[in-house]
Amino acid sequence: MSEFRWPYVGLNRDRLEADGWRATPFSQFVLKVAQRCNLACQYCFVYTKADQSWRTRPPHMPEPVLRTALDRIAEHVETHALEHVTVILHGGEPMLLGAHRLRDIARAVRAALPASCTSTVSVQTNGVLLDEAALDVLSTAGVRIGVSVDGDEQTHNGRRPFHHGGGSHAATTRALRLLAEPKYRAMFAGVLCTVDPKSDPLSCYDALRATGATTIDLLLPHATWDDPPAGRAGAAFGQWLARIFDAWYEQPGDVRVRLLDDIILQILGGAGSSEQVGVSPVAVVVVESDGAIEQVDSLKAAYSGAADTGLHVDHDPFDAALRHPGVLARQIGLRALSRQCRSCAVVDACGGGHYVHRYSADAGFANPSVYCEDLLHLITHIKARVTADLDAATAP
Amino acid sequence: MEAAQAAGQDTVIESDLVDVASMPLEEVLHADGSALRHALERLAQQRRDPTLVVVASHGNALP
Repeated sequence: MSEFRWPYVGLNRDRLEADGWRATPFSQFVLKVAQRCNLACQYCFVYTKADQSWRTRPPHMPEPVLRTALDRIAEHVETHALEHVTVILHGGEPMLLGAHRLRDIARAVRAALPASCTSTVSVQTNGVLLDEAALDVLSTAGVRIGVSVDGDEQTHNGRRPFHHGGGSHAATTRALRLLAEPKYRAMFAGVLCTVDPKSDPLSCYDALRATGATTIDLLLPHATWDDPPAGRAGAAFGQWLARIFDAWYEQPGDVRVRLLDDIILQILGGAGSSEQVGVSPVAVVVVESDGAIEQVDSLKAAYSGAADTGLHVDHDPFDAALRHPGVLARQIGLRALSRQCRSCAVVDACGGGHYVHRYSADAGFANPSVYCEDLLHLITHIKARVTADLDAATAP
Repeated sequence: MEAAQAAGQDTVIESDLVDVASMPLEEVLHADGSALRHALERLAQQRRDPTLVVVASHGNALP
């Protein structure tokens, strides 16, 4: 049904190109090297939402699929003369492949790329299997590690349990302690935390700071108008984030909270690099473990098949995905937004929020975010503080 | 749309982006270690290099 809604109808590529718009090549490649996970997170968009395609895909990406995917990345790099790409080994839980396999994949990525192109290879993990031996192996291939952790112990354990129901906080924390050690610190890309408005924001923030990460990402749990987030009444998510903003903003230091940092930048008229807010082109493409080329995986929260492109690394270059309406819709800035968003005063900082959060079966992705009220609260809060500080700093 | 109305988005907001075009950013840049300084540094970088294409990265993986 959603194939009959925006952007699958109503988006005219020829007209966009006639107006001067050009596609942005992909520079970030998410490889779904593992399809299963050793945790059962309550909010996971892979396992608990509308799309259940993980059930029919290979648990691990087979070697021939990997090789073809890397050839396709190299092809894309050469076609567009890219100087740098990021390859993210993702899942499921990628560490289920073992550190040696991930190291070999990282080496294969670099070997596949032309000498003119540098690369960052990172693993996004829950940290449970990340011990010293694994880090020693991964460090030999220059792999960067991002760890998902939901703040303090009580919140994390309630939301990120093992399949047997026990909490994973102790195991994740063990990995984070290792990553904070001088020996591994250069590998530590940062931490990701999915927002729980029922938790204490400052306790969460303190726990994230205590990991020693220099980059913190705060994610709104994936939801749509048809499957709205629990507990969003009264802009609960926006208020929760605003309290963290105040703590972060008032605390001198070099920790970057990507969502908040990007909102400040976009309020000032700059371009952000977060998928959650703003109108910067999304240059991410996903390769599933069976070789299917897909749109960003969070779309699985919208409806079954929402991330599909119908393309496969065996038959199609990534350039074919650049022509897909779903990809196109995420590269055309304000033109992709609903009329209501386009007339909103904070649109440049908000950008309609995360694409998947705009979805409804009746209008496709041509809606404001289901977190609209939260984003409005957060952005106006940040803007008030930034404006006051700029006025004070620039007063004669 | 019903869903949009539920978001309370009929609120009228008077102001738009903060106008920093004429502001002496250097003064603010001296605010040591502040989040605002970091944002202004990135803004200055984007202004220095108009060809810089900033892309949005995957929301569930830190690059």
